[in-house]
Amino acid sequence: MAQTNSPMPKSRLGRTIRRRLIAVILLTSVAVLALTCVALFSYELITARRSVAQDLSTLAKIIATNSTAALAFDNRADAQEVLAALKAEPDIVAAALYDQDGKLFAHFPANLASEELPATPGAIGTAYFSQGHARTFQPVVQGKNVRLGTLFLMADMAKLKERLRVYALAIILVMAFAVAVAYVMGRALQRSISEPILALAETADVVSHHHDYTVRAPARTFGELRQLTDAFNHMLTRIQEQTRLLSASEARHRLLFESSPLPMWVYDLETQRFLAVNAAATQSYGYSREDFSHMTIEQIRVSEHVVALRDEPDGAGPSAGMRSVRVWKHRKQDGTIIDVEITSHDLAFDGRPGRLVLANDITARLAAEQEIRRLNEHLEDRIRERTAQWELANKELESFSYSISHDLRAPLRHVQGYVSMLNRSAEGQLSDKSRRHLKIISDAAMEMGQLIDDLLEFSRMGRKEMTSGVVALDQLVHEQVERATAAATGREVIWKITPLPPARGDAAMLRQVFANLIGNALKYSRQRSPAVIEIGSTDEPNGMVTVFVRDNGAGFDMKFAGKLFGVFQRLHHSDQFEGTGIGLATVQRIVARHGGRVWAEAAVDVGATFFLTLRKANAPTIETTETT
Amino acid sequence: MSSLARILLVDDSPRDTELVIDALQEHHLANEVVSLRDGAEALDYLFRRGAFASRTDPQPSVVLLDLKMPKVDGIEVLRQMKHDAQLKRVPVVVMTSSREEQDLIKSYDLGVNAYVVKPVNFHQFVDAVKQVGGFWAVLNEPPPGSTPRPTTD
Repeated sequence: MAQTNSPMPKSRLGRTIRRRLIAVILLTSVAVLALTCVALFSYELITARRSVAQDLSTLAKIIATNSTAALAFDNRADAQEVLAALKAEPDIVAAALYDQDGKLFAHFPANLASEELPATPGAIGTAYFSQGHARTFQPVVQGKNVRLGTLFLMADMAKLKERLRVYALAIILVMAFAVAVAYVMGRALQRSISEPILALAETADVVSHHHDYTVRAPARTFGELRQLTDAFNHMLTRIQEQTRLLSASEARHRLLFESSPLPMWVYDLETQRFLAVNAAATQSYGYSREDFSHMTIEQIRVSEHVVALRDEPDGAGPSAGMRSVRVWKHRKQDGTIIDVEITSHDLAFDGRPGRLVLANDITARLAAEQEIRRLNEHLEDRIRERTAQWELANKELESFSYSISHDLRAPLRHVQGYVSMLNRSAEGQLSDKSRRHLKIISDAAMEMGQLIDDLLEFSRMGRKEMTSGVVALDQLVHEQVERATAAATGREVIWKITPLPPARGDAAMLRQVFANLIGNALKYSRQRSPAVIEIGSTDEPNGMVTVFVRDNGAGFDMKFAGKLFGVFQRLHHSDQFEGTGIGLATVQRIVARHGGRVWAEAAVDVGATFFLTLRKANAPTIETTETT
Repeated sequence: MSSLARILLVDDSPRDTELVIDALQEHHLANEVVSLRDGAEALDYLFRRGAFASRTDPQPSVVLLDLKMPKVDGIEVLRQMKHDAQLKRVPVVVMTSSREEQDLIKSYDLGVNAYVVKPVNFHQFVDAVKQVGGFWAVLNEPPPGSTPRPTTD
């Protein structure tokens, strides 16, 4: 192509084209002229020779007629005289007269040697040319057809040659003039062809050397050259547009590469040299572009990883070219070692096998991850520590409640026991007042025993290991209703129980819940006749069910609802409704351990409704939060 | 009345001991009640060691055993008894204030013959003692080699 060969200088190109055009014009003119001249000259030659032959024949006839008498009378002198008259004809160089027998009779000029003449007369005919002379034989006839002899004439061609020479000279002169005119005209005319071509050539030269696609060839001519020029200009316009698009696209890609916030570079896969680096790479690694251009990729790698690179099989990756993300250690210009996540892609760069590398500095991230790991480990340690503390506390609590269970109950039993023994031993000696006092002592001890039992139960519900199974609430509720009914003989109670779904949880604990709630409902409605107790459920979203226990009893003021589930919290006086204030606290604790919620709605002297949510048995199990 | 079954009562609380004995006497069940104050004494008695090394009388018909005691607790006494070839046949009734699940489980695992929670209410308590004493000291056939069963008087 043009750019690979050394370009021809414009002036030389111009000279060549001009010369060639002029040469073509000249050669054409000369060839045409030469052919014309040859034709003219040939015609002239033929005409001249024909004319010479004619003249010679005519002369030969006149001489032959004049010689008739001399031959008839065999008069050599006359014959010699007739022939001598040829002196007047300068062209005639020789003449001879032969007699009837073909013997030479007379010749001209008189001094001519007879050897130079034909020995015998030749064939009669028109003149012929031989050895630079025109020759003719003419019969000498008497009367009609008495052949007396033969006349021979030979003419010199000098005159003819002279004429032809002049003619040739004229032709040469004309030709020289014609060539001169052709040259001058050619010079002038070639411009109309060479100049547009030279303009095109000049434009092409500018385009190819300066890559300037904005220039246009001047359109000064018409016809095919104009077409050529227009086509060339159109082509330039197209190239200019495509170059613009291409460079815009290239600029965009370059911008992507250059303005990438992540360091990027391309390196030669064979020499390991950097072929291109972006601004982020120079900032991040501390080397200038100049530095990079003299470096290989191995110079930024920490030694042990260079080995890893070499061992890595080429082209190993999920898809051709794109390589998996890997973490490397790189050394910056200042010697700092950084962890980088490398994503690379193999490509051809300027015809070289290269690799585009995107380096993400994850040193901080790795440090943060390590810190998180460390904190996690620390946290796990702390959790272990706390768990151990918690387990210890739990164990202490266990032994505490174990002691309470044994040691607090015994004195109460003793109080009761000795009061009873006193009653028996001092029977009859005690006043009514004393017996009443002894009864109060005994009742107080009983109450405290109940209190301790309830507290221990409450504590047990918090500590006890929970089992998780399917609990048939229906059956459980019916059992408790039966138990409660048995304890409430003589009372009119209307039970309204709708079927309950099976729940997930600890059966023993849930039994305690319903024992407490149903017991409460019965207890607080004992002034009603009939007492109405409703038990039912409503489905909740996300696999929960709300169970309620409603009574038409004493109820309570909702402004105290917040105290309802606290330990030892009571909303009624114990002379009105006996109780320790632990039952609902136990209910709340158990429901909370099942991941549920408990609440109440009530109105004084109208009744109370207790609600609790439980997970349905067919719902997916979720770890419940353990609360103690 | 010497033929009446002997009851071994192990309880660290003298009041409880008195109440139990009182209840037994009230129902004429306590012809012979041996009362000991802790597990160590009980083991010495049962294995005829220490202070009881010279003891020659047969083993009791029933042992009423408290659990929470100083030195050696009731569970340990129960464990040693039930691991002894002879003593394992002696019926043991745990009588305790506690309803703690762990105690119940341990006791039954070791092969206790009965587990009674002493009620706070004295009448219930007396009733319980009466039933326990009546059953184990009178109705139950003790193992061979223990105090002979009571004859009718």
